[in-house]
Amino acid sequence: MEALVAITILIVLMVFGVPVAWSFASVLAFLVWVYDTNTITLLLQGFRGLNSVILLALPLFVLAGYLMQSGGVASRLITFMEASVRGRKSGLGAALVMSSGVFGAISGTATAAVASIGTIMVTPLAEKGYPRHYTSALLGISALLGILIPPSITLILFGVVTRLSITALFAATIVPGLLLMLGLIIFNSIVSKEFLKKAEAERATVKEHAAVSELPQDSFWLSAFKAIPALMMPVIILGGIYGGYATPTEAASIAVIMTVLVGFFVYRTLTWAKLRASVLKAGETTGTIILILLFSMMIGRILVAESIPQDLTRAVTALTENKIAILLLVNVFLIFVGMIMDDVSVTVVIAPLFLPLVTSVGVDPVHFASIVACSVVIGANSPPMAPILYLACKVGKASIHQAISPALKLMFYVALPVMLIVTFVPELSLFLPKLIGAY
Amino acid sequence: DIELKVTTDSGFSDSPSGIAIANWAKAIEEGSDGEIEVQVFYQDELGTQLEVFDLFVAGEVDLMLAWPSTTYDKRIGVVTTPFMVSSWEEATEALRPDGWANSIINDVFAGIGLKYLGAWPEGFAGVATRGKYATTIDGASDIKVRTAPYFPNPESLQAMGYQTEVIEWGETYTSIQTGLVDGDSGNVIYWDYEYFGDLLDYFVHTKHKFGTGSILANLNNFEELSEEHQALIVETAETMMEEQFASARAEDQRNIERAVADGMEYIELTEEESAALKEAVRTQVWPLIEESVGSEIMEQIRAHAK
Amino acid sequence: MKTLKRIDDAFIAFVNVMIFLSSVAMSLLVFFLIMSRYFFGSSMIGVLELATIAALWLYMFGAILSSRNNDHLTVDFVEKSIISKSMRAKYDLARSVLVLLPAIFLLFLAKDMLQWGLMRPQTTPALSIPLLVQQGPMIAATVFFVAYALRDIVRAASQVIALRDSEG
Ligand code: NA
Ligand code: NA
Repeated sequence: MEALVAITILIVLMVFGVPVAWSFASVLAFLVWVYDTNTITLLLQGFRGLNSVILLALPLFVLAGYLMQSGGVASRLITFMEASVRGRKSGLGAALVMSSGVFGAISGTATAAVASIGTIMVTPLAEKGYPRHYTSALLGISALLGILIPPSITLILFGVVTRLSITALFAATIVPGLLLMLGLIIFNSIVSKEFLKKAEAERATVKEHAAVSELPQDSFWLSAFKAIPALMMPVIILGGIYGGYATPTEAASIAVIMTVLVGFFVYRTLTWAKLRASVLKAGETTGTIILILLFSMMIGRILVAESIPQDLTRAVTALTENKIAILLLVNVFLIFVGMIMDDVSVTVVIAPLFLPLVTSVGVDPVHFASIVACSVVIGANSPPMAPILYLACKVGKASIHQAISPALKLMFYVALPVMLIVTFVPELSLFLPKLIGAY
Repeated sequence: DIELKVTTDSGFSDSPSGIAIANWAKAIEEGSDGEIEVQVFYQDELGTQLEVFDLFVAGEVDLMLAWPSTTYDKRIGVVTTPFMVSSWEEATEALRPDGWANSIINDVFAGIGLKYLGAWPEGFAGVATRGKYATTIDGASDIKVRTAPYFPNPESLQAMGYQTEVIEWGETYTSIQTGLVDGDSGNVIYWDYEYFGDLLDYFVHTKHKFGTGSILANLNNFEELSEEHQALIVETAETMMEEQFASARAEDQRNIERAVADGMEYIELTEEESAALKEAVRTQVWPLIEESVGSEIMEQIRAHAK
Repeated sequence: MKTLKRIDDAFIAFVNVMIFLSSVAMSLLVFFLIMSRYFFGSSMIGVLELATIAALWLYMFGAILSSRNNDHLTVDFVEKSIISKSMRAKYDLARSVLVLLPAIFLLFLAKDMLQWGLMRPQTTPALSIPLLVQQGPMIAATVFFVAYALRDIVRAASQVIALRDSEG
């Protein structure tokens, strides 16, 4: 009962516009009050949670993401992706999806992918005839490939809260990520046909308006050559982790150091001013995520001490013990809370509450992490609380109102089916961690 | 009615330590004729290892079977001083209620407001590795093992010739699998076999550390109880300790047999090999321990250790 | 008001420097850990602990900066749908109050943590650095969270008053 009131308070405050972190803090205060929790060591418990070597990977990957943006790594990747699909009608859209996938993979965050890929690609796409609201929706959902393809901030958070191996979690979502990427490319090639044809017809009538701004037109091989340092990045990070040279945290520091070196000495696009700005921006982003995490951890402690997850497990299993029914229920619930909550909140507060429930019906925790990641992809793009979609619209200079319709189609035809496949075919998530022995 | 909370930082409800605290709770409830009610919380139910210990020191939890970190007082490390005892007989002699180490340990815990009620031994630690193993200091030089991040774990292993890597427990499996480290160190065979048994080939019983939990009470909460109830807690804890001393040795032996039957090679050190390790650790690590626990305690240990 | 602004500017310059230094320290220390493994065989025990301290400082200075810039993750749904200027001012006031209350609660939690830390001092396991060194920025941050919430209240309230005066 108290837990229901708490969730209501949380939603009301969030929707009213109280910052997410402070909405959580209010819920914490409420729980302390109703459960009469002793506060002597409460903040100390939250502090213990932050004082973690595994969590160190988070600020490092956030920093790497911002540095890649300003250091020219992202733009080299995009040029290369564009060159490798040049000539195909729907190529530019596919390039956007693939760039987001690869860049999100090395930067670890969806926001970094939206900002850098969006800034560079939305205008050329618009001039080719892609409507801005469609591009923004595609960008929003593509950027979330970064959650599935390692490294991933979301999975680091999930691993920290549930104490699962980060390495295993990273491996679990690779196949689902590739599946989503493929789905998006296919969807784009079907949908874009129509408006590309229309754009071509228009362009034929307005011949004088031929000066279309283009992406840098390097040849395939030249762009590939220039992209080598950028393409080496995922190889070094993932190779480092799975080759036994580094822990995920250490790999994150390699990403930071490499990006700085490549930005300064290879691409020579990084300056001291850009470095300083990136570090500060990354620090601020980290600070906002960490504050949410801090409050969530304390809330989690109280809920566990009051055996809320156990009660939830008991209540649901009293209704049904059917694994498929429970997973469907959890899927629906995660998508629903994803509509009102941001990805971080879902990952660190809501999803862990379900872990005892799903494991009690025999779902593997690592598989569950994969399900959660897929649901976050949907949640982060579903209004009213759709931070990634909104950011994509801001970067793409599109109206949020118009972007919602293509975003919903992308979710209904691509992200949702992927989530269902991932939910009901555990091996998709588990075979890679088992293959490389991470699990 | 009096309500007490008992917990452990290591052990779920079906593990030996979990069963032990459940039995302790039952013994207290029965011994008090129902005047005391004891709530049992297993590993992770109240938070992580450090968090549970915080709650305990703060008095939110009354009784605990703990493997405490040294963050509140470095001297807590004396409980597992490397090469302090070398056999079960020596361990019993040192840690039994009137044993020579008992008062040292009680003083240390009293410093942070806890009462020491006895040891809860697991057995002697070893080094579990994959692909290669070593029984000498020179032989260990190209073997890298994971250690817990607490003093003097890495220092002891380094004195024994190993390269060390501090890795969180949760990342240890992957780290062994990927070759970041060759194995784990400082645990009794139970943990290495249960958690990494499919990866590890060898368990070298270095016996450099006698692994033991500590049975503790929050001093403030303890003193608030009636004398009769205090005596009951002390007695039941003693029973718990005696039972564990009797069963731990057999349990450890059973775990060795289980591991061997499953293909792990179990290696015992010769007397010379053992003496060489003991000599190295005592000369290199004991002075470091002396810095943190003080010479008074260290003198007592030197006087008693064989 | 001007002096306050100057103090804030100087303070934020300091926060920026701290964010920069802690980020650099964190990155280099973890990187050094990998390097030391290859050059010295064993990784040095205290390095991770130092890196974690740098990270804890970064977390809190980053959180202070985002509070100061009102850059916390927020649902701007209601905010965007308000057109009237005076409604907007009242809305801002209400929202600032709803931030101030939990911020004050957090301040009390920080007070508890500080008191406990003084009564039962702790140190880090490897390097024996006082835990308060790690907790310091967190405790300090809670003060600034309250300060910035108060600032927002004052701003919004004066806006409400100004608009009422201009209407009346
Ligand atoms: Na990623
Ligand atoms: Na959402």
